[in-house]
Amino acid sequence: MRKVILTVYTVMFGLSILMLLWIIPAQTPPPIGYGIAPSAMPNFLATVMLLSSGTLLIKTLLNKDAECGPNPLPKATWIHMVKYFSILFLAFPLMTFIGFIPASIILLAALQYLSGQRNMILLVAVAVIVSVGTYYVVSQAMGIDLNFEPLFEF
Amino acid sequence: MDVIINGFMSAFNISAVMYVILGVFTGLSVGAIPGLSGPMAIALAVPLTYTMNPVAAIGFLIGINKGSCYGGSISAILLNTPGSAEAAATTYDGYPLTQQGKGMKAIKLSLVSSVFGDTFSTLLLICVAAPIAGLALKMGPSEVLALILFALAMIAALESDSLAKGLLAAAFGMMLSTVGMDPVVGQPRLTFEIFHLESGLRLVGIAIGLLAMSEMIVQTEAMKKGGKNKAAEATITMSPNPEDNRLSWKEFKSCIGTLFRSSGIGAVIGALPGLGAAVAPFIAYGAAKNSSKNPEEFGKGSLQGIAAPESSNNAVIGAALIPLFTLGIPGSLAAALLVGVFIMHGVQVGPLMFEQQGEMVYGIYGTMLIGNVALLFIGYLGIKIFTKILGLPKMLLLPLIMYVCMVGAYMDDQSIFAISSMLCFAIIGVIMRRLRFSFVCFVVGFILGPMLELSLQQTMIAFNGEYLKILTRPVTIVTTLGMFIFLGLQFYAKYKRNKACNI
Repeated sequence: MRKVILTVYTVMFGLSILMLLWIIPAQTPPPIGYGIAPSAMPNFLATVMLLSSGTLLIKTLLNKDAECGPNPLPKATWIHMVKYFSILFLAFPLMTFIGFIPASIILLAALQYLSGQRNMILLVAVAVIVSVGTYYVVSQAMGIDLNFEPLFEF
Repeated sequence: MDVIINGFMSAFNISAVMYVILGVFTGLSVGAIPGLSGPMAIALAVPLTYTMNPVAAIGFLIGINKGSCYGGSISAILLNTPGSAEAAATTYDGYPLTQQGKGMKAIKLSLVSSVFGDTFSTLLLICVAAPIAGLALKMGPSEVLALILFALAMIAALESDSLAKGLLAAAFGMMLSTVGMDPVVGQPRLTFEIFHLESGLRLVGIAIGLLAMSEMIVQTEAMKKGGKNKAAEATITMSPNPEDNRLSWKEFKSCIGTLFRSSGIGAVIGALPGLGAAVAPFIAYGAAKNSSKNPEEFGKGSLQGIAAPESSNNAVIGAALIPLFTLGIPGSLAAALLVGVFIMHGVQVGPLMFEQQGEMVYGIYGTMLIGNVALLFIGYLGIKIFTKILGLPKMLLLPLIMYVCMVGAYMDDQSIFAISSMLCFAIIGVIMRRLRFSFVCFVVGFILGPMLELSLQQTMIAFNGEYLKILTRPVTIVTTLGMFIFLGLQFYAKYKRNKACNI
C-alpha cells in the first residue's frame, strides 16, 4: 500500500508542477487588465495541490509505519477494470454502427456474463427486455433521440 | 402571504405528489440494498428530471434522499448489514432485536423515528431559512468569499482522513470546474482545443461516474471474490407473540425525548457543511446512551438505540438544505447534487431564491412535507416488498445499474463525449475509493469553485487595490478568523490523538 500511495502522491506532485509551469500558461487566455487574470484561479489551485501532495509525500516518507497494509490497487483490480471499461467504452460507439437496441443487448449481455450470469436464457431475456424498454422510455416518453450518426463514413 | 400559499399549492398538484411518492419509493428500494446509496440514486435520477417542473424535480430527488436514509435501516436491522453508511449505528440494537424475533417492531420504530427526524428538520428549514437568507443578502462578496473558504476548509478537515488529503481532493475538484469558458475574458480555458470542453465538465456525468459507476465496478469485484451471490434473501423471524411485532404507543412515548434530542443533533450536523448524514447517527447514539437510565441495555436491543440514529440521519436531510438555500453552499453530498438540478432549471441557488423564486421555494417545502407523509405510508405498507428487494441477485442488479449509468450520462448531454468523460471519472472514482480520498470534498469543490472565483473577482473589483478596507468588514474578519481557529483546533486534536497513541 505504501508504494502505491507514494506513487499517487508523487504523480499528483508532478502534475501540479506540470500545471504551474506548462499547462496553465499554455491553456489559459491572457488577462485583459480587468478583474483577476484567467490563470489566477488555476494557478492558486495548482499551488494548493502542490503543497497538499508535497505535505502528504513528506509525511509518508518520514513515517515508515504510515500506510502499511495490503496493496489497494493490485493487479487483479486493474485487470477487472480493463475488462469492464473496455466493454463500457466501446458500447456507445458501437451504437453508431449497429443502432441503439442491438448494441444495448450486446452491452447488457456482456456485463451480465462478466458478472457471473451463466443462465443464458435469463441473460438474453433481461438484455432484450431492458434494451427495448429503455429505447421506448427514453426516445418516446422522454423525447431524447437515440438514432446515432455514424462515427465514420465508409 | 400569496407567495407562500401559491408555493404550497404548487406542491399539492397531482403530478408533483406522484413524483414525490415515486422518489420515496425509489429511495427506499435503493437504500434497502447494501452498497447502493441515496446520493448515487440521486445522481442517476437527475437526467430523468429534465422534463419535470423544478418543484416536482426537486421533490422527486429529495424523496429519493428521504427514502434511502430510512431504507438503509431495513438491511441493517434484518441482516446486520447497513444499506447505507447512515444506517451503520442502527445495527447495534436493530439486529439484536431481529435475533429476539422482534424484527418487525424494530423496522416500525425505525420508520416512525425517520419520519419524526425528517419532519423536525423540514419544519426547522421552513422556519429559519427565510430569515437567514435575509441576513445573507446583506453579505458582500468578501463575506461570501470568506464563507466559501471556511466551508471548504471544514469539509476538507471533517470529511477526509487528513486535511491535506481533503484539500487535495477539493482543489482537484475546483481545478476541474475551471475547465471551460473563462467568466471574464469569455475565451476557452484549459480545454486543450477539445470543443466539447468549452461548455465545461458536467456535474451529472461526474456524479454518475464517481458515485455510481465506480461503486458498481468495486462491487462486481467484491462479488466475484466472494464467490456466489452474497445478498441472501432476508427472512424476518417472527415471534408468535403479536406484541413483539408491533410498536405500541407506550413504547413510542418512551422514545420521545430521544427523538427530539437526536433530531436536534442531526439538524445541527446537517446544517454544517462537511459533516454529512453518516456522522450524525453515531453522535446521536452516543448521546442517547449517555443520557439513558439504562445504558447497559444499549447494544442488546434497546428501542432508544434504534430511535436515536434513525431520527438523526433523517434530520440531516432538511437541515442540509439550510446552507444551500440561504448561502448557496451545499451542506451534504445530496444537497450538492441538487445544485445541478437547480442550475438545469435555470435557478441560481442562494439567498436571492427567496426574492426571485419564492413560490418555487415554498413549493419545495410543500413537497418535503408530502415526502414525510409518503415515507410513513410507503414505508409501512411496503415493508415486505423492500425485504424481498434485498434478495435480488447482484449478478443481475449490478449490470442493470451500470447500464442505467451509461444511459443516464447520455441523457444529460446526448453525446458520446459525455459518456466517455463519465467513464473516465468512474476510473478516477475507483482509484479514489481505494486510496480513501473524499468524494464529498471533490464534488463540493467542483460546485463551489465557480462561486469562489466569482466572489474573488467581485472582491478584487470592489476593493480596487485598497485591500486594507477588508478591516472594515467585520463579518469577513470573524469568518476568516473562525476558519483559522477551526483549523487550529483540528491540528491540536490530531496532535493530542497522535500523542495518546504514542504513549
